[in-house]
Amino acid sequence: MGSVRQTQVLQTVLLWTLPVLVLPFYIAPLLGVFEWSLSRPEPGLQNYVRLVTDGDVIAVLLRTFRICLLVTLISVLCAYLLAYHWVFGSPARRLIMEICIFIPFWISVLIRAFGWIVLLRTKGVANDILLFSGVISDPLYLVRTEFSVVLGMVHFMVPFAVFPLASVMRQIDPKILLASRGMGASASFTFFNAFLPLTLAGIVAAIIIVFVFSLGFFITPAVLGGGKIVMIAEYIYIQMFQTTNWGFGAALSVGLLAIVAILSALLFRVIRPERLVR
Amino acid sequence: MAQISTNGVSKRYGGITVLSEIGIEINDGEFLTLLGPSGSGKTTFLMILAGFVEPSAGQLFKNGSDITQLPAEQRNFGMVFQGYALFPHLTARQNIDYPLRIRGVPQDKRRSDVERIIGTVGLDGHGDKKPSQLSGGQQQRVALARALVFGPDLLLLDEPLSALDRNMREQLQVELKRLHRETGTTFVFVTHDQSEALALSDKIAIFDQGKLVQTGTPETIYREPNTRFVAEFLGSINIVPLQGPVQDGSVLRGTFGGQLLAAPQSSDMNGYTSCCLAIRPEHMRVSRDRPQDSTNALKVQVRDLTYQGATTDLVLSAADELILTFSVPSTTAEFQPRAGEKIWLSWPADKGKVLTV
Repeated sequence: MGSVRQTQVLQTVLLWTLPVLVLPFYIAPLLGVFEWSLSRPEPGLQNYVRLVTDGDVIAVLLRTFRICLLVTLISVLCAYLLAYHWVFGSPARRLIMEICIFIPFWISVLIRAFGWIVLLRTKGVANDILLFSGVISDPLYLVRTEFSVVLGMVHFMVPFAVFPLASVMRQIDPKILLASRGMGASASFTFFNAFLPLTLAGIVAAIIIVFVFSLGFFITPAVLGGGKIVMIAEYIYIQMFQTTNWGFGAALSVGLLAIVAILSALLFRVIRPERLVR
Repeated sequence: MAQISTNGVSKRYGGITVLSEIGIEINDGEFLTLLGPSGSGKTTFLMILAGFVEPSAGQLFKNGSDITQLPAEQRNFGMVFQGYALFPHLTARQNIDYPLRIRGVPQDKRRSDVERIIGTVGLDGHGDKKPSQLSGGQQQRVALARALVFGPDLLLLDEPLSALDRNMREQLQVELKRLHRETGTTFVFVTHDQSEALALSDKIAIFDQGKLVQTGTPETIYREPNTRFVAEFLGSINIVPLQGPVQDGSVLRGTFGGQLLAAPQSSDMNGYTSCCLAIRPEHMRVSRDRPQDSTNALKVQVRDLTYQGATTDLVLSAADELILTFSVPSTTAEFQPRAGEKIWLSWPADKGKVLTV
């Protein structure tokens, strides 16, 4: 009988651990931010009005969306190819893919961002090679451009897109693809009519993960954009810690959170990933 | 329709030979079963026929032309996979439509072809269901319909009934035979179930350890097995070792446990110092006393009786620890043996089959 009581106690403790931790450490600060956005510097909605009227803010938001869409597109495309070779490749190729996917995953985002600067700066490795081989005659300005920000973000995001894609590809019965070939289908017919629809759930998951994650990106754009390519997270940081405009920073944060929530809900509603899963 | 033949088809993986020198003729409209235990190479041979596996040596011919190098997608063969391999994201109707879409068949003809085959395989009312909403037997029918709808030259079936329960299996056996008759397509069917092979086939090819050991009609293989493996694999059989075989015209005589036994033997037995005598249980009978006629007889002891309803299975031990099995009708037998009893087991001399390998 004692063990039943112990199990019950354990269950209660485990069940309540998450809410108890989430409430003071997440919900409460979030409400605090929400409160700031409505009360600083003075009570009212002026922070939110500025959010939708200020040209600078709208420019930052549009740039953020543009970069995030581009990053999502490129990352998911690269991840799809990587996942395919990881799942269906020969054992040697699978090993190479694992190294390509996991090694960057384990390296700090800061180190990777600085690594890209070493590669891309005016007197960096990339320019040296291009100049030496005669492809260009003057060095390219690659750092502090949207190009370098997108590159750094894609590099960071690809593994996150690989995992959901590899997971759906692993679930595909290879016999289904053989069956398609056996019925006379070309490789492209099999891809568009069997393989792609069967991996759609993974594609949606990868898109949501990469896009939502990218919206809040801070370090990579800050380092590789060098203050020229400012995205929303860096803009919030500037409002909070440089211009000490706490109320407006808070309103931007709440706005970002709302956009992410709405976008996720829309994507889920439109594509209904649960319907795609067998 | 096509006549398929193979010549010296072999497959090696690394140093391991999984298939050696398979030569077989598959006639137009035939129901051929590739029968063998798992690992005998029958599925590999089917995959080579389908074009999914390339043979290490040998050729494949379709109507006399070499198709060894022809890719699977150009062979126009239908295939039913083990586990069916249906497209999970498509409905039954869309699955069946798939090969027609590949071939660019006009919409109207596609629709009528799909509806017709749905009727033929008995899937009416299930066309709009996804595979996950269908039972195993229904999924099997979708797989059959999908493989037959485009009029393939050959239908390859890889253990299609193995995942089904016994009632469904028997029902689908009947339907497979009917489909074979109605479509006139050549069927090549892989199974490890000998009763399935006997029930369905026009011709059986028996595989053992990567070799084709015997090909023939079910009756021929059952009556005249070439080897001990074939005899034991197909149906139940009792095998009695024969000492000191002596050929006497068309009859071979030898002894077992002191009893003189005889069997018909046409080919020359010189050089063999021992061989086996194989007898199907249905040719045997049991009696309390030694039969007076000139049949072969052995004295045996009843080890075990198992009541099976209509029949009772007997496990009998003869001399030299030899175990024989036999079944008697449970109700109408002249006499009911009891466990431990010593009885006589006899059979007509012409029903024994001499096996040397």
